[in-house]
Amino acid sequence: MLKRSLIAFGIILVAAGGTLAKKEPAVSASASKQKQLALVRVNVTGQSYDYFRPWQKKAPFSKRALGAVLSKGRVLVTADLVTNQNYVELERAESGEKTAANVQVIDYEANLALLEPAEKTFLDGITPLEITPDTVVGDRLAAWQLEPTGALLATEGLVTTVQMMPYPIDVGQFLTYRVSIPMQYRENSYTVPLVKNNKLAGLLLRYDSRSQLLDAIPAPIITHFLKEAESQQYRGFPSAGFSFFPTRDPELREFAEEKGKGGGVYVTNVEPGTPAMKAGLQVGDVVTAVGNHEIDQNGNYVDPLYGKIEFTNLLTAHAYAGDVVPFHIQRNSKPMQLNVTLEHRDAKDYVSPPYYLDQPPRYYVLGGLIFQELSRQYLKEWGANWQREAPQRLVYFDHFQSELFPERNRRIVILSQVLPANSTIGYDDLAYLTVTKVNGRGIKSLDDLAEAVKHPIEGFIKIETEEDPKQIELDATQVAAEAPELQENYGISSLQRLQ
Amino acid sequence: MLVSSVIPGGPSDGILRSGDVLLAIDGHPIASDANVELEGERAQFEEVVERKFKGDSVKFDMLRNKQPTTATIKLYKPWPYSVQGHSYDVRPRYVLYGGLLFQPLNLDMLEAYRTTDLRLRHFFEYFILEQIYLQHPDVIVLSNILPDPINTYLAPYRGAIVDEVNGKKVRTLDELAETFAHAPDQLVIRMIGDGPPLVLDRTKVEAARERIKARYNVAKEQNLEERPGSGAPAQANKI
Repeated sequence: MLKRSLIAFGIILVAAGGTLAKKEPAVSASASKQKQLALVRVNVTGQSYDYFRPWQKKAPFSKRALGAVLSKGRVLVTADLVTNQNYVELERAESGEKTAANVQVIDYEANLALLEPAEKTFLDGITPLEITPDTVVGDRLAAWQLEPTGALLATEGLVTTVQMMPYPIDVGQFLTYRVSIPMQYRENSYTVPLVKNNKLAGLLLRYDSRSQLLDAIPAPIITHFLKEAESQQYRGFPSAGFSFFPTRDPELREFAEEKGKGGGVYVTNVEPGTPAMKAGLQVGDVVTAVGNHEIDQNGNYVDPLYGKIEFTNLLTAHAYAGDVVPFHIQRNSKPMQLNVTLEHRDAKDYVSPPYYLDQPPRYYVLGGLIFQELSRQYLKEWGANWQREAPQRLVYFDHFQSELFPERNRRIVILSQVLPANSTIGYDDLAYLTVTKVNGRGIKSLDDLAEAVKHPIEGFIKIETEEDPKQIELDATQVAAEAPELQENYGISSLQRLQ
Repeated sequence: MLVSSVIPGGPSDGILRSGDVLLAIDGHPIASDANVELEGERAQFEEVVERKFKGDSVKFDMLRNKQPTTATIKLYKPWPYSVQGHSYDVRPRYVLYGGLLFQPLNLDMLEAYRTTDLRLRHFFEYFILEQIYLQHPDVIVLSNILPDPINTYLAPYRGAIVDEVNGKKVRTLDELAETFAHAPDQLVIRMIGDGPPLVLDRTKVEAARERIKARYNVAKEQNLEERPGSGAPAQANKI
C-alpha cells in the first residue's frame, strides 16, 4: 500500500514538474530586466569576391545580428556573419553606443567566430553568459532576440532531436540541436543565442519558417571551439579520414567475417595521407569501438547524455587535433587496436577546396582566357542550387574528388571563361574546360600554368584541355602586345593573382 | 579546320589524325570558321555529312605535316552513339537476379528513372568523350530492386554501377548474366566508386527465385537480345 502511494506520488511530482517547467520559461523576463543583457548588436559590412571577375569584389552587403557576450571580453557570433567582412561594429543594446571590433578567431566549418571590441571597456557592466553543455531532448530553450527598443524578445521552443547534421560549409557533420520553435522575424535575427536557465545552450544555425524547426550549434561544439581558441594556434575540429557503411546486412557481415550479432561499421574507403591511413586502417576493416564506446551496426554509440548518436561525434565534439584515439577493429575476424592521431584537415588540403573565404581567389588571365582553380567556393557562385545549376562536369570532379584524384596534392585548373579579344578570336564561347598541359608541361596548379606559359613552342602558347577543342594555340607575341589593351578594356587591375 | 582528336573506333579512326588540317569536304572549301557553302548558303561543314546515308563516303582534302593529301571515310553510325540516343522498337535489355534489376545505361533508361545521380549522368554524358565505352561497353546499373527478404538491406546500392564480380571485371550485360548463371556460393559485386561491396549468397538467391517471380509477375528474368518488335514497319530515322 505504501509502495503504491509512493508511486502515485511520484507520478504527481512528474506531472507538476512538467507544468512548472511550462510556467517558468527558460528565461525569466524579470531576471533579464534587473541586469544588463549579455547581448550586443553586431553590424557587419563586407564584400565577397566575384569569382566570375576574380580581380574584383562584389557590391558591399551589410548584416545586422546579435552576439553573445562571453567572459574575457569576447563576443560569440556565427562565422557566416563575419565572413568576407570589411568592417565589424558592436552596438550596446540599451544605449546604442558603438565600437569597432576585430575577428579574433573564426572556424568556418563549425560556423563560429569570436569578436573582440577595439575599446576594451566597451563591454563593462555586462555579466557574461555562462555556457550550459547539458541540453537534452525534451529541454526548453529560449531564443533571444532584441526589439528595436533594446528590450528582450524571448521565444521558447522544445528540443526535439540531438543528432549529427551537416553545417552550412559541408565538411563532415557536427552535433546539432533541432528545436521546434515559432521564431519571430526581427531585423537582426542573424546570430540568435539559445538560452537555458540564463545560460548559453546554443546558437542559431538555420531556421525553416514553414516547419518552424530551428537547427542550433550546440554548447558542446561551442565549448570545443572556445577551448581550441585558447591554444596558441587555432587548428579546428579534427577528422580521421575514412568512410564507412552500416553492417546490418548479414551477407556483408559474413563477407567481413563478422561473427554473431555484434556491432561495428564497415570501412569502405581510407583517404591517402589522412590519420586513418597513417594508423593503418584498411578498407574492409570493421570498426567496433572508438575509445571506450562500442559502435552498433548502424554506426551509433550510446552517449551518456543523448543516447544513441553517430560515433563521429566522438571524433569531433569530444576530441581535439593531436589526440590519440584508440580504434578497436576486426580484421579477418581478429580483433586489433589501432591508435589514430587525429588531425584537422585544412581546406587547402583538398583538391577542390570546400571553401575559400576571406581571401581573394587565384586567377591567371592570358590573352582573354581566364584560368582559375576549381573549388566548391567557385561552384557556389551558381547559387543555392549550385549542385544542379553549376557545370555538371565540375560538380562531378568536386563531389568525387577523393576517388578521382587520390594523389591529393594538386588543383584542377580550369579555363573558366573567355573575354573576347583579338588574340582569342574563335575561342570566345569556350568555358569550364579542364587544362591538362600547357606547352607540353603537365598542369596541376595555376603556378604550374604561370611557369609553363613562359616557355612557348615556336612562338605559340599551346594549351591542351581534356574536353573539346582539346587544344588552343595563342601567339605569344600577340598576347603580350595586347595585354595592356585587354586590361584597359575590361578594367582588370592585374592579369594574375597567385598568392 | 584543325583536327584536335579522333574518336577511337569511329569511322575516322585510323584515317584522320590529330593535327590534320581539313581544307575541303567533298570539294566544298572549308572556311576558318568551319563553314562551307552549300547550294548558295553557308552551313556548318558537318551538314555535308548529315545529308548522307549510312554506307556513303565523304572525301576530305587536307594538309598533313604541311603536305596536301586526301582521305575518304566510309560513314556508319558507331555503336557508342546509340547509347546517347533514343531506341525505337527495341525491348529493353535487363538481368534480374535476387530481385536486383540490372540494366545498361542509355538515354531511354535515364529518362525512365528521371535520375539526377551525378555519377550516372556523368557516365552517360561522357560515354564517348572520355571513352568510357572501351572499359564499359555496357554501363551496368543496379537500376531497381524488387523488395524481398534477401535484398532488404540492399537499397543503398540502388543506382550504383557494376564494376566487377568476384574480382573479375564485368564489361557487358551478357557477361553479368553469364556470371550469375554459373555463380559460386558467394557473389561479391564491386561497384564503381568507394562504396561497400554488394554480397549475395547464391543458395538464398536460388531459393528466393520462384517467390520473387511469382510476387512481381516476372515473365522473363532476363532479356539480352536487342530485338526489334515483330511486324514493326521499317521507318526512316527521325532527325
